[in-house]
Amino acid sequence: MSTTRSYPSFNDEAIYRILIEESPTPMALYVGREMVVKVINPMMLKTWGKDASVIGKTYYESLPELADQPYFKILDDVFTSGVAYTATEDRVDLVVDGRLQTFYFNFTFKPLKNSDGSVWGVLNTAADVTELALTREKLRHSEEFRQAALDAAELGAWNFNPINEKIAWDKRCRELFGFSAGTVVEYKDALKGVHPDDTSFLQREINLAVDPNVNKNFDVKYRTISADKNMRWVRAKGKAYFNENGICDRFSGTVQDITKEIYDSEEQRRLLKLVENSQDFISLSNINGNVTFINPAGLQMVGLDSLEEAMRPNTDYVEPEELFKIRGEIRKDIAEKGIWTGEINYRHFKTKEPIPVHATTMTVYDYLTGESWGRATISKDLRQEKAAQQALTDQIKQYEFVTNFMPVQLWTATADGTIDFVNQRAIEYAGETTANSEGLTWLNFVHPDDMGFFLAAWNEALETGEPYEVEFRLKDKQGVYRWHLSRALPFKINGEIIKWFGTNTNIDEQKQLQRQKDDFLAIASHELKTPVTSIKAYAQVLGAMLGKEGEIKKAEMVARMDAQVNRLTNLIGDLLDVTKINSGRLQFNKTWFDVDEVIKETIEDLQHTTQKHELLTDLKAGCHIYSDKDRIGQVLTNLITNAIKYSPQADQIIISTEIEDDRISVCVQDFGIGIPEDKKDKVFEQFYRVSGNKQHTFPGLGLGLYISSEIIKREGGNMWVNSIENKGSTFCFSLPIRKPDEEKAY
Amino acid sequence: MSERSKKIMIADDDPGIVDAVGMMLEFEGYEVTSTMDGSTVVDMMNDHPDLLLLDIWMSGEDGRDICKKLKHTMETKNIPVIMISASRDIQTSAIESGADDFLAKPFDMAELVNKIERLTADIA
Repeated sequence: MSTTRSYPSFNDEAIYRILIEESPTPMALYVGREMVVKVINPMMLKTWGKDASVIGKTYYESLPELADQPYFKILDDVFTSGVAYTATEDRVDLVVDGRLQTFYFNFTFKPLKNSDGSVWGVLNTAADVTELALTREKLRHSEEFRQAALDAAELGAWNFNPINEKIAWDKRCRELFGFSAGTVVEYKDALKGVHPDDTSFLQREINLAVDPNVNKNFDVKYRTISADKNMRWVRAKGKAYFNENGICDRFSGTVQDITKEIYDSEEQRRLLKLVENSQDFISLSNINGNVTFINPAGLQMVGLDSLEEAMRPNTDYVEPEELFKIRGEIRKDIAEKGIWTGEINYRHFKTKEPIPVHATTMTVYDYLTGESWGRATISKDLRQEKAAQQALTDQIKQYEFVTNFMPVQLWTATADGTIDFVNQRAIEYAGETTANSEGLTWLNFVHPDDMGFFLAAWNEALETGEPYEVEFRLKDKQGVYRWHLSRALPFKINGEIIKWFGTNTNIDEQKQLQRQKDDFLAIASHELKTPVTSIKAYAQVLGAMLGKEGEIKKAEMVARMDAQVNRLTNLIGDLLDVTKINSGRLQFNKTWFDVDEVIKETIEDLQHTTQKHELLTDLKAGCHIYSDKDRIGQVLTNLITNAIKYSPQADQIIISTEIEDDRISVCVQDFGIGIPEDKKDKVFEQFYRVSGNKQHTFPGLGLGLYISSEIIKREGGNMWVNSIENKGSTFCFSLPIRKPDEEKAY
Repeated sequence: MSERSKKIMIADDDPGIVDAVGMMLEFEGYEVTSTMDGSTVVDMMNDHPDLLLLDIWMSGEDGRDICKKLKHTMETKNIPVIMISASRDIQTSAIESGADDFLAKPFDMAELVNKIERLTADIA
């Protein structure tokens, strides 16, 4: 070796080889397109986990584990393109120590070129950065984990530097405070996102936390207002860190949206308030049946003084005999349906008084586990209700007692006429079985002959709302019909009929008496007529004999006797008529006749009975009517004799007729004592007589006008009187003029 | 006045009526027979009266039944019958039973005589 060559030739391959082999950096040289490993230093072999046998083999042969990694292609690209490839912390999986391991390398593939620019080999240098990469990976993971935790808890993280008054916020924080992404916010700006009412409080808490002398635990709840004016409740927790000079240089922590919790707890608070103030008994008991909570109303209801006293088995709360119900029905319902509702008797702890309640008890489940936690019970005190019910029942019983005691049949009907109540008396009358049958009604008990006017009266009352009153025969349980007077009044609220209250009074006895009276009068007057007939016959024969013998004076006396007999006959006739009217047996023998003619005949007869009065006529009717001629004559006689009787000072009586609207009206006018205004309607009543000091001066039974008005009424007409006291009266009646073609229908 | 007195028979259960009416008719010139027993009326028709005054309310017998019987018997059906009653309401049923006329008690002598004369006019 020459001294001038004290430096190895730069072409000396050996020098490069040493440099490469001794380099602490893994290095390798691959030549040709096949990338034959020409040179590889021990560091690279160590990295590969291979030995020197790889020299002379291709890169691909040496590292078969790279087949599914991108490096073969990258290397080939470098050879063909002549462009170097540099990797930073690239992951390479290599089989080292017999197993595939993950490594991270900073490495380069550098092309080695001929003078003509063509690539003849690639120099590979690499630095194992696996440890660094893994650390970095771990760090990244932990950061991600932290963020994930924060996100999961909906926590935002913040970092406040009290020295420069800047706050670093994460995404969540910014959302909560309504700031845009990535901004570093000044402390004073951050405070703007806080609800004005909470600002000073929050500032005070922060100041106490960052004060090294206090270093107060920072855990506050306050409201934030976001940019869109949404208010949120947040809870912020934080810790202040102090530097070596005792000055706080970092104050960081988390912030959490607790709006829902606040509202939930608000709701809970309200619910609790409701429970506290409820008038009902509300309790909770745990799975073992021990009461854990009772509201104040509950405590008061059962006579407990404190919640401590209330902590006892729920079976203590009920009457001992209710335990069967609890162990049976209640337990079963709760097990099957989770709820039981019903009545049960609690017991007052002090007085031992039973307290009837309507209770609902249900299973409550744990919010998180969904498992049965115990029971909630709400109970309503029924004592007042029961007392009121009892009072009502008592009242109804009293009412029933009274109504049953009453000697009348009492009934009520709905507005549409359906009977909905009859008293015991009615049931006893009609018979138990019939009255108990469905649908109370009188219809099955009313005499068939009376059904017509019974229904007419009831329907008219229902339609008009006027009081109902009718007499009919009602069948008793023996099947005997008895006369009843039925009356009902509508009970109205705000003008609307709610109910009809009715009575049926047995008037059979009165009816019988009335009939007996009528029968008696009929027989009596009939019997009276027989001797009167004889007397009249004798008188007439005697009068005729005396007349024949020229005993004019005696004959005249007998004639007067005959006139008195006629008067007696008329009185008997009136009595008979009244009995006929009362029993509905007044009969009419109808014929066609001229009213004016009947008036003339009547006047002719009556003119003889008075010397003082002149009977004047003004007859303008001149028509025939279909009626009972004798009865109409009777009415006319009655009106004219009354006119004579009650006008002793006057000397005229005017009888007039006229036709108006298919009716003929007949009037008899006198100029006598007249009738006071308030007595005018009474004169047509049975047995009415002129009252006062004149009573005795006018004889009569008081039946005439009653009979007359009844006759006219039954002939389809009506009768009335116009009168001025001390001036005179005009009695009138009107009758329908029936046309011949209506005769048949009549 | 006819040459022969008309024979009037009175059937009434009241002696007062029989006596008084009988007296009245005799005074008027009639020949009068009478009975107070309703059951004998039909038998007594053998006397052939010119007219029968029949009370509607004979004891034990209804005058209307007697009237019907007479009017259904050949020998007696032409004898006029005036039925007498205290009640005017009987008039219709009296005529229905075949009576030729009706008279309500009490009655005027003239009224009775008029009816008798009208019903017996053809006899004379």
